[in-house]
Amino acid sequence: MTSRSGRFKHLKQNGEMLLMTLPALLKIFIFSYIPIVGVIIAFKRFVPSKGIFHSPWNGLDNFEFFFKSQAAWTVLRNTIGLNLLMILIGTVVNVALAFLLYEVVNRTRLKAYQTVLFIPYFFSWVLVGLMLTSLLSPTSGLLTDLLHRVFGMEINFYANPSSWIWILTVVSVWKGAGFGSLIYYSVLMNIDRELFEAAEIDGASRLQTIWRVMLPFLIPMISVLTILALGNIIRADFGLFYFVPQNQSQLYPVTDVIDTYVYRALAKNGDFSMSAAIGLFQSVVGLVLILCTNKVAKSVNKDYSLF
Amino acid sequence: MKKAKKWVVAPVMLAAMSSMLLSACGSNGNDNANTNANANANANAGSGNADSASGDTSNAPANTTADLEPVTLKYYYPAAPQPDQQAVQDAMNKILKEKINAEIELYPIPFENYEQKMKVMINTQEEFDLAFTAPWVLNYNANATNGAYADLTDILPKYAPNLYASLKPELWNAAKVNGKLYASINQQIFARQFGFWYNKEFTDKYNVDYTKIETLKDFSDYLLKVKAGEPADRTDRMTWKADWLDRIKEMKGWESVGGSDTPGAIVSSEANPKVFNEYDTPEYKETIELAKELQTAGVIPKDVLTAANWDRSKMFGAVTSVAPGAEQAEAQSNSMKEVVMHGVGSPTLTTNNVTATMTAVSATSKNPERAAMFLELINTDKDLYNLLCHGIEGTHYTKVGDNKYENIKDSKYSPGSDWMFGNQFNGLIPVASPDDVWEQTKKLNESATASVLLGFVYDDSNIKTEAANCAAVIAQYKDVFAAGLYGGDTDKKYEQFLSDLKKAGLDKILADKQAQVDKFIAGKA
Amino acid sequence: MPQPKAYAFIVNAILTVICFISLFPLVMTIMISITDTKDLASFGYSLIPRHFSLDAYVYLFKVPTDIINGYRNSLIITVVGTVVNLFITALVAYPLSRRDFRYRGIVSGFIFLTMIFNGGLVPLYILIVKYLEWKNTLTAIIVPALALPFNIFLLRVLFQDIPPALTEAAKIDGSSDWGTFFRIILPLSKPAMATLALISALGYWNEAFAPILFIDETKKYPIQLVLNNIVSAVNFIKKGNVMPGSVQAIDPNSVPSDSIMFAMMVIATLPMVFLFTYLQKYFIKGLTVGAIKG
Repeated sequence: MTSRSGRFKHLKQNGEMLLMTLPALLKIFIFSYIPIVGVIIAFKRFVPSKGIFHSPWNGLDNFEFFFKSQAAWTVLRNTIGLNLLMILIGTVVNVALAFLLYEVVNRTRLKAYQTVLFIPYFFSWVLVGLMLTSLLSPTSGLLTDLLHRVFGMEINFYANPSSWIWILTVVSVWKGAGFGSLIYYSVLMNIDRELFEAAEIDGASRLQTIWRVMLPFLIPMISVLTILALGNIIRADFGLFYFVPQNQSQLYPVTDVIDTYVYRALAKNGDFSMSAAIGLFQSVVGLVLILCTNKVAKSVNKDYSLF
Repeated sequence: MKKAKKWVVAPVMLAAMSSMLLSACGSNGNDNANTNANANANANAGSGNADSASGDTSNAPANTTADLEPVTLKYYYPAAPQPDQQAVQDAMNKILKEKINAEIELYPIPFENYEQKMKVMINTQEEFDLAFTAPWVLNYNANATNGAYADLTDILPKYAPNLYASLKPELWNAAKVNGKLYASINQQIFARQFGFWYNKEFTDKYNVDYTKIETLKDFSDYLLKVKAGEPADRTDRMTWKADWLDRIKEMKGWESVGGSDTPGAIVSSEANPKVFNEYDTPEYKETIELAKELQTAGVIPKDVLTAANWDRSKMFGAVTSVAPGAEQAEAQSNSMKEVVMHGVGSPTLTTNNVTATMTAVSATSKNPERAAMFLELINTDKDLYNLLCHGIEGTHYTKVGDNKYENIKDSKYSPGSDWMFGNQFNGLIPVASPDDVWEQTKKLNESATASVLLGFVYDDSNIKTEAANCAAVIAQYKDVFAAGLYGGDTDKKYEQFLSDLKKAGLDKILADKQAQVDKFIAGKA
Repeated sequence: MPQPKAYAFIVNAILTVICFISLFPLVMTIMISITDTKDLASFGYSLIPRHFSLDAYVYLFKVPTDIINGYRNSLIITVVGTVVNLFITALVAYPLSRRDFRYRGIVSGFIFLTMIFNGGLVPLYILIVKYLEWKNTLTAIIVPALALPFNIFLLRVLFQDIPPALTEAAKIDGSSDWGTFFRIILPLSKPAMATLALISALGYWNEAFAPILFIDETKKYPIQLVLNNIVSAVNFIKKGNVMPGSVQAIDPNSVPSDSIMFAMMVIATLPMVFLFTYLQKYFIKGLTVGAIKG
């Protein structure tokens, strides 16, 4: 235990830095911590006129509807499976793109590549869904038309669930690639180039340099982003799973995830308590996952961990 | 500078926070104080208005307004905001200021956002005065049960006497939840009858007697006949994906108990109705089969569920609700020369049809009495009503004859939803409509048979879990069945649909619905 | 830096292919937005319009004040939000990146927890509308999106790449932590700050949910809501209106509804593409510093 004066010394030493954190912490306290009392409605039958505190308790009733439904298993499987696939492929693609971009010396070209890669990131999911329809529509889509004319294939993507494992993954990776690669690219930018050149003078091949010298610099970022992503593994990006498959019910065996199921089930009665219950479940699982992965990362290297 | 400001703001915010935590206890006291103050203020208003109601409306306002404090009413409804919204609001306020010393603030909220936004406002007890509600949008029953709307049982007859007198008590009863009235009904077509509409050009060309078409099967024969005769690129948008699985119910004289998102229906004419699963019937199965055949035959397009574009002018007909004036309206919106309709079954009055469009007063309103007085005016004052529906005469529309209007080209105020605001029979009618469209409608309302469950309101609080899961199951299958897109798998999927429903709690829902229906029937006798 | 020709060629070839895949939908979008709607209905989508038509844009700009207002509101939200956000996010991320900051763990945990747990919409809405009285203000959209945990952690990792020797040297020279932050860290991390600026600006520009809840007044709608509103109106018109009382002032079949959706995407996206090209010089600057050294 630190003595009283010792603690004071720490405070003084860190005072300036503590002050720097204050504006952000204050904002977070007010807009995230104070409203957090709201989680209790997950255990209540929320009646608006009675407010959050005076609504009657109802134990775990609000959790029932999801866990008792026969969709629960499919939906959990889809959420976790697709998220994992997207994290994995997304990370590989983003890191690879960052390396590729790093190799481009021509500034004009680099600018062009970066801009173009980034463009999909600007689109909203609704519009991505529309664009996809113009490609995949069974009657007028550009791609279906092409497949039909060139290969004589008749595919109705909107009636073929298993193809959506890859369609959704590709769309998600495609949309995030510009942003993801930019983050890794800016990490590479911060590194002194001489390091790599030294390696090359020592006779390492280009790929060896990438693998042994450059990649280690990216690992803290990969690690932190993956931990964060794992924390959200049972939360799905609603827009991606709802608008991109156009909420086609024939595709539910693959595209139905927790967030879309809850949305569909509660669309009419709009029960805030039931959706809060699912949200809480997602949070708790996320917390456990993050704590575990963070611990593993920390045991490897302090810089790899989130906290 | 920025930082300094942050420091000042912080304590203020914290103070606000702590008061939020405490307010849960304190708010009751406050509310009472408010209601008392309002009750006093409005006691005068009420007597003043009662005079004006019994006597001639035109000479009363002077002494009414003198007694009324000026108030502002916030009115939310689903509609695309119009460019000239403000001008129309100002014109309405001129009338309102003079008659009830109130001003209205109109908040049209785009349809797609309305439900979500209002849900949050209601659940956070935000203050507002009026909102559009119905069983199909902003769930009237659930919100009335939850205490979101003000109790109008006494207020409406007192402060909106003419409005209250304009409808029969049995109709008001349809809007009652647990014996209390929570919304004002917009008078319009209440009788609901379903049938089909046809592009007359083609019923003539193929010599089809549409008045003889009574079933979905007959209707699909007509479509197949046209399909065979017309070139392929003319028949890619023959009919809507159609909510015909819902409509088939109505054509058979069935009606859902509660909403169509949970299973359970009755036959409207049975004296002691038995609740059954409408999806587990030969009729439903037949419809599914038919949809499958139509999909195979290419009558229903393959992309019906995803098509962003739909050229209505290429349609040959569809399931529709039949009403006077609807033929002209359908023709106009499809750019067709002539549309004809033929109704199937007989017109019926059900709770859901009578309450299909209503205006509720929020429980958080500080001036429910004045809100009721606004409802009185919007339902009885033709000028006020037409302003809200069609805009300013000369700027947004021109009057044709006595009771018709024509939109001015590129008018900046044309919400196109007069049925949402008040008594439709006070409204001007489009030039193309028959002169006596409102008389015909009234007659139809009179002649309709009341359902045995008219006035029954289903309370789903016992089966919330099952209802949510059944709703999810139905949403998963229904549209695909209607589009016939399961193809060869249809039978298998149908079996699975029924068993999924069962697992989601079908039996509990049916039993609960039956119990409440029985109780209602017993109470009626 | 020496680079074998074949190697450079392969890199460029791969990137060109990937860029083509990324760019294709945008080209398609622009093309559809200028295609005659009647063609879309009868011939389906195609890359080269049979009949060129600007109807969709004409329709969207029919009431230009709406779109101009929307752009203005979005611009205010985006600029103010991004500037403030950069400042307070960098301020908190810097101490967190320093290994000698004693409260690093506690502060990170405090921030991190909010990424996982939230109280839901109801209490936040009550806070903003009832207690802060921010309804119908742009503040209600700007403030809740400040100092987001993801951004803080991102910036922290980027700051970590600055060699600790630099800060230590400054400390020995007698510089305060604030001084080090402003004089050494910020100028050195332009690429990082540019990245954050981009994420932040994009977040504000595309935000469509908060305005739905907090903005009632049409003249305070940001651009996303203005466009949604137009689409909503188009959908309502297109659905047809078989209620006998009202007719729309607009003939539903004259509305270029398909191309509108795509034209809307162009209108909403272009400003961000411009912003990106502007910020890009900072990403590239990082490159030149390295290149000169080499």
